[in-house]
Amino acid sequence: MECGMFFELVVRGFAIGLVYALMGLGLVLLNGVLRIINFAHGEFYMLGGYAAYYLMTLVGLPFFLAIPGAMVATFVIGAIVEKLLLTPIHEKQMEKPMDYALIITLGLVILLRKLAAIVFGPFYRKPPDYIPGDFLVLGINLSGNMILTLIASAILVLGMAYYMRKTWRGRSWRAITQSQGGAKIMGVDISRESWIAFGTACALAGGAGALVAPLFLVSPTAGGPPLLKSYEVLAIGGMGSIGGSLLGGILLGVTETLGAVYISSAYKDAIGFVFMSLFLLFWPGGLFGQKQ
Amino acid sequence: MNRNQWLITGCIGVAGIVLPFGVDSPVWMTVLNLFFYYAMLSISWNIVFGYAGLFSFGHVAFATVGGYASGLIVIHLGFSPFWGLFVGGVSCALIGVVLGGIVLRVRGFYLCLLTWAFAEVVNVVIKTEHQITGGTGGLITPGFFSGPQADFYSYFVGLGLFLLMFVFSALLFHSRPGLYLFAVRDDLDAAEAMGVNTRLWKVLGFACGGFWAGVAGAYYAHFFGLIDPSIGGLDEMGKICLMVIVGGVGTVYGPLLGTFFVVILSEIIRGSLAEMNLLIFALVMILTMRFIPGGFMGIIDLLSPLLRHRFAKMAEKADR
Repeated sequence: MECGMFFELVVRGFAIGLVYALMGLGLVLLNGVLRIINFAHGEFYMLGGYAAYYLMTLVGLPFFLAIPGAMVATFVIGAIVEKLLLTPIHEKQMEKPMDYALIITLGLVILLRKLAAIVFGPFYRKPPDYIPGDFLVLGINLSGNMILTLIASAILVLGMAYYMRKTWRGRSWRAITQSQGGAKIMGVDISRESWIAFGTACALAGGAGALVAPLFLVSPTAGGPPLLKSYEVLAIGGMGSIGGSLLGGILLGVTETLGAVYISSAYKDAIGFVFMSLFLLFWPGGLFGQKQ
Repeated sequence: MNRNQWLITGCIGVAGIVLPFGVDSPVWMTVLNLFFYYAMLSISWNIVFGYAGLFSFGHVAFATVGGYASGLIVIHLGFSPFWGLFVGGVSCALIGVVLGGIVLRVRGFYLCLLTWAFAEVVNVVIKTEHQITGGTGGLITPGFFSGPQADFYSYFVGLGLFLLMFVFSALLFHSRPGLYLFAVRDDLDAAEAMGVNTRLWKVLGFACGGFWAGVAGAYYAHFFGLIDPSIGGLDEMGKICLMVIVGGVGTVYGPLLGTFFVVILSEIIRGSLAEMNLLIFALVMILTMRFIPGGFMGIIDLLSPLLRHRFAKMAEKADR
């Protein structure tokens, strides 16, 4: 029994870790292509959850259409935000683009939270179970939602890694990460790639939010914890590395789930923060990051 | 500080002294005290971010620590709340030195993350150790004075602290240490090449901001008689950011104007649009940053040469 529970927790942590990796992947993309940090990343997670909820309850779509629908919705919102607010970063010569982006996205956090509270109401919402019922897999009891989360987020992360390696756009994003000027000379349209990359990062966050909506429920402030987690993933895995964010996410997810059960859960979040601080101070490259 | 700035400080002081005799309602008294609290916080954040260029996200955590330190010392050791102000400030300055010494090795965004981590850890500790701090319910602290006129007298404590803080910030702006901080903000490598001890000045700037934030927190605790962890939240930090951004980053009067705008406006729209309060402010912050990065002070700087020109022409005409 003890052993079975342990494995169940590990698998559970694995699934949650993949969701964190999905969030961290978006931040890796933003950090590379736009060279900014998005504080509102968690808010897109929240919007994704709401989009899935309303697509399933109001429109009545099945889950395999609602989750991509939520991703498309967050992609569009992200692209609009980039077009409206973040274009000065690459169009004008800005003295401190990082500070600009920090302040703008901080404003966005408050704006989106309050807007969500007004439009959707300050309650917890739960979309219907994507795959109802529990399944016994290899002697471990898993809910259908958990299995879906595990599979779908694995597909998304691996698909994104493939996309970054093999397609023209993925290669151009990696080129911008290495050298913005060089990419420009080789014919990459920076302003177009910027909004597409921002939208994609938001869509990844939205997809993560939509996937775990039946597990963790949706509320206007739901974006807070995943935002913190995604930054911890970024710090542990290293900025600008897909493998790093994958490994960092899984590590964080598994330790967190085990820690919540075997150690007291009150200081759980603080421990994550201390880990992040130690990594940033003494191992700033993370597990997989390049030297800065 | 030049003559004009002393003049303006004097005007603010006189207005502050006269105001409570004219304003009778306790609501506006509380609003004015909130204004002092937020003004102290935004001016001290302006020293950290505007002067020294360190994007510290844990500034409200200093206020929380200051408030709790002061409150606990007054309750358990029986000190007077005025000593509490001092203790709150000094404890935050010490934390600022230690934290700054560790954290300020990293730049830009990493710094933001680490200070944010500090704020979150402070919040978690205060919420969890509820037998000492009272948890989410808050800690009830004794006020500065007792009796029916307590708020009236406390108001002058706030006014005094606020003026002190303002003068300090203005003096710093025009002094040599201020120049060191600007050098650190504008170009770290160039400053180092010119022989500025950047590490030292970063830590000092950080600790200095921490000190005043601690004093502000202690003042808040003793004026309102209750301090709870919510004053160290992300929303509060957003408010402080907003005040400084709207007023003008790195200027003397900017945070003051921004705080005035935010606190007074939020009081005016409280009746009809209470729900939308923060929403409107976030929108204002985004729009200001997008279209007028200089804030109010940017607009004033832009307009004042035009106006001076216009007045000079008018004077010329009048002479003729």
